[in-house]
Amino acid sequence: MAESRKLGEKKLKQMESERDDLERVMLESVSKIFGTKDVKSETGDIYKFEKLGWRQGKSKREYVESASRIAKERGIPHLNPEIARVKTGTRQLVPYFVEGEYIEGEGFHPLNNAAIQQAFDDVKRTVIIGLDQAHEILEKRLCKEVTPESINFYLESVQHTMAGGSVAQEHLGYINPECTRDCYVKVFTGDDELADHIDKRYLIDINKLFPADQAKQLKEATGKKLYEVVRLPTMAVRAGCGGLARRWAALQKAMAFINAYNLTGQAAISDFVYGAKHADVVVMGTPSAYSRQFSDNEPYGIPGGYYADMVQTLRTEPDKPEEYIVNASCIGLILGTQITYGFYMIGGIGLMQSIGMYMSGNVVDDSVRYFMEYVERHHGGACGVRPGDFQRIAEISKHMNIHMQERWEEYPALMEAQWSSYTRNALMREMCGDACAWATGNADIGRMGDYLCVYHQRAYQGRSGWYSYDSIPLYDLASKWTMRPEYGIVEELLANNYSAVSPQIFSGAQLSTTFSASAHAARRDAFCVNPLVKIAFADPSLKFDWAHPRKCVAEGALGKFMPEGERSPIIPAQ
Amino acid sequence: MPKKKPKVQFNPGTTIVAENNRKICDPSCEIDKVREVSMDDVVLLLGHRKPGEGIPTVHPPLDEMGEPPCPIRELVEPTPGARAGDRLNYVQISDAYHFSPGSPYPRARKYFSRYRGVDIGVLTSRTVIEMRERELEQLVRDELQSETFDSARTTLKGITTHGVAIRLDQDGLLFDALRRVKYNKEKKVVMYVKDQLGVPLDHPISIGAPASEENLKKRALQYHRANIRYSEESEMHLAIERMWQLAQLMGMNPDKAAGK
Repeated sequence: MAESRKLGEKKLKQMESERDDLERVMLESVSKIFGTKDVKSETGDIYKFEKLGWRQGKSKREYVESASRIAKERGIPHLNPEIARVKTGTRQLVPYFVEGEYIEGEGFHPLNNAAIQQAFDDVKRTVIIGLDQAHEILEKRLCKEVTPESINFYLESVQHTMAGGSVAQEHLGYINPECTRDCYVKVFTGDDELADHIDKRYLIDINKLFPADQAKQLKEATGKKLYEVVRLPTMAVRAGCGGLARRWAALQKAMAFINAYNLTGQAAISDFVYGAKHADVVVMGTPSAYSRQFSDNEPYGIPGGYYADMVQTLRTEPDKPEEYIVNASCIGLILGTQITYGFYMIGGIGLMQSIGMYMSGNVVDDSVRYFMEYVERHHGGACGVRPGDFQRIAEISKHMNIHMQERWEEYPALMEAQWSSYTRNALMREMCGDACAWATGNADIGRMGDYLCVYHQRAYQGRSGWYSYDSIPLYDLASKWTMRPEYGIVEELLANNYSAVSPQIFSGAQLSTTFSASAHAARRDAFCVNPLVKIAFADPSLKFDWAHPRKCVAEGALGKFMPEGERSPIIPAQ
Repeated sequence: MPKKKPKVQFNPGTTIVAENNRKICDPSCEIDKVREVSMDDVVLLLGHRKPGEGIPTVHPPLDEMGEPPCPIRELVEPTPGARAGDRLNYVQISDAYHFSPGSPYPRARKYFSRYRGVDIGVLTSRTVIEMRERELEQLVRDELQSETFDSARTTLKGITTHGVAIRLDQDGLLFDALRRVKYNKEKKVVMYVKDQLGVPLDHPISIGAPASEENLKKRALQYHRANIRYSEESEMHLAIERMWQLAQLMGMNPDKAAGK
């Protein structure tokens, strides 16, 4: 059991004051959105904009105008809301209030949001490869000397080869560097002496990027090994897929070794490739089950604990675990659920809207602070509850469940702002599970608190989520603790591949991301499940801000986020 | 020693909400009839066929089919619709979050315990029911006449069912993107102007007056902070938490659950 940690009175008072502000802003936003002061009323003039229909939405008006022009240009009909049997905008089309901005639902579709795309691309294009094995081959088999100077020269060579440059042939075509400006290789190590000798342009400096206590833990976990983090060009994984990443990395890395150590096409070269592809490589996700047919580094196989490690808020703001959990919730939502289910599996537009609903009105922020206060005052603070204490875990989950449900009941306008029931239910599940994970420092207990929440929802409201929404809590509850692959799994390693959750939206990696994050924040350790992933995403050269993902997503929704991977250098000027 | 026959239990709890849920689940309890709806109106509201038209069949009557010998067929008596070869058809019932007298799970329990040959899907806002058509029509008629259906807070929505969490309109009606129902202020009744699929009806069909808020609270199947709060239902919590704990213990190691 993790050591119990209290936040302290000062922090509690600060969070109480923040909650007052959050609630005020939440109610103001709802009041502004609906143009009503009475946010407690169960009735409203809900059809008042019916005549305007889809024309209520600024984006919709612009899109329909564009679609009309495109239809004329191409001679094939395009987007046209007039033909729909059910008219969009029967009720008021309301924006979502996220990060202090009022954002239309359109902004949260991945095709309309460059930040969501970049977050996903950053995951797909990342591979972590151990260099020690390759160095051993160089030294023992090829009798080459590996020195800090040779490592630095290799790192300079690999920037060239990774970006599509050739080193051993004289007639190859290059890739336009404007298309590969985000392609590079960096290294990190737990060995301070070795790190001192690495050219700083290539180093992810653990000592500089992490607070001292976190750096110490991370260096211990990493050991003396040297790892390289390969970032493929965003455009490569967009034109191909995540499975391309380690293959691209392996080949280009081998070419860089040839250049740096003056090698030729000898058999040992294949060992570099084997090491980079299989023996000493960390991919972000394993391939999906056969029926889904996705390769590694694609969403199905990325565990929630990895997503939680990618989020860097606890590194940049170690005294704000609440912000870290909120941001992990955002990443879990957009990558763990929306990209996987809404985009890859279902396709279309419906589910994507729920990103806005989920994050709207600071409800997540407020709820996280609420359960932290509650656990502090009644259950001994973070990690204050023994994971086997069923009674207290049940009490925490139930308390959170009732708190959240009654808030929506108190403010029907808030319920309307988060109008999708399955979204609200998922949010309740998340907060109940997070509260239990926070109280115990154990992500698996978070999952148990979540499952109990579904039982209570069914009894409370007589409804839960989509079809069979409660089936997973019913059958997985008994099998989860077996920890046998295909039947149970450690929560931090749970991806959407896990058979029990794979058919059900919101149940998989999204929740495991946030439960892992909450338990990790409670324990205040340096990483959640994989220190290498934590360090790799601390890299300041990444365009997507992994310390503030929700802010990035809001910027993306407003068209203010500049991504990587543009094709403009290779197409006619527009 | 003869085995003691277990007593069937329905829904724990001591509040009126728990009592209402028990009544819905228990087929021996009679459900109150609150209005009269004709079968012709039911047929029009469903929109699957016109009144007086025969029900299309998907196979010949079972008696004419010469079915192969089968113990299951011998064991299960076909419903009249199945015997006649009726097609399967559906209805969807949508319940407002704000004090509807029904909600999806209790509805499923109600129909499963009182009807045969019924296939039910439970979602957040709606209950979709599929049956042989003649049985479906009877179920819908029973439902429209029953206390678990309020003309304002419950709507037949064959398509575009969402909106149960939206605030009610100024007349207290459940939001409907297809505007199937309207409140007739003169007669103080709710009228269907479109069938469940949103196809306009030749003439409006009255479905009766909405119940008062006070009455709806007495008939509630859901807990609510403005009525019976879920926190008051301690017996329910105990039952659920016991189930939750035992499932984990039994899954991990049945010995751990011994004596609990």
